Amino acid sequence: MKNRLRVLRAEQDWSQQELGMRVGVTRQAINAIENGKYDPGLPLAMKIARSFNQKVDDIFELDEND
Amino acid sequence: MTKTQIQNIGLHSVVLGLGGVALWTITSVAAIRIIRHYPGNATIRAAAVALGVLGFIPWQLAMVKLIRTYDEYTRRVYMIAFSISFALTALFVVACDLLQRAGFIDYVSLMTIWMVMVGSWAVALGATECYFRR
Repeated sequence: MKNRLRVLRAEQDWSQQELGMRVGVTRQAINAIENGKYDPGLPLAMKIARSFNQKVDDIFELDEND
Repeated sequence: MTKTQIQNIGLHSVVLGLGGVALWTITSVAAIRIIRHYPGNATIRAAAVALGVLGFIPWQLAMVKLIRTYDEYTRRVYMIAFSISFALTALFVVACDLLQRAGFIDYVSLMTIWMVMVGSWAVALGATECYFRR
């Protein structure tokens, strides 16, 4: 799954720690999501989307491997 | 998670983990000593076994409680590490069984198997975290 998390986070000038704090996960979780190593569950994806005022599928999208 | 929340979870982890291990160690040592000192009394030996087993349960409950406080990503890392550890321990048991049948080794202690499980879990946890961090 691809995501625009890193770009959106940079636009807001948030650190991984700060985004993690907003959505209730660790910095390591945000790092793993950004690197494409971990796909978040639906509640976390929705919390992330809400923190950027976006829809889930504006941030996350399936790639050819999914 | 806020820094305070992370620190609280970290402190909780240390207290629960160390408390559980301490209790487990004390009850295990006591149980082994009692079993050695009362070879002829089945009731006392049974009580010692119960003491040792019951002393192990708080550590397990502490681990469950801790894992439940973590976020979904950390829980996933733990689950993967447990799966790897399970597979490695199963491999170890199968290998030991065949080695015993083949006459290369005489006896493998159950505690050795347990230590392999804990050790492989710790290594798998580190390796899984490294994989997700890269």
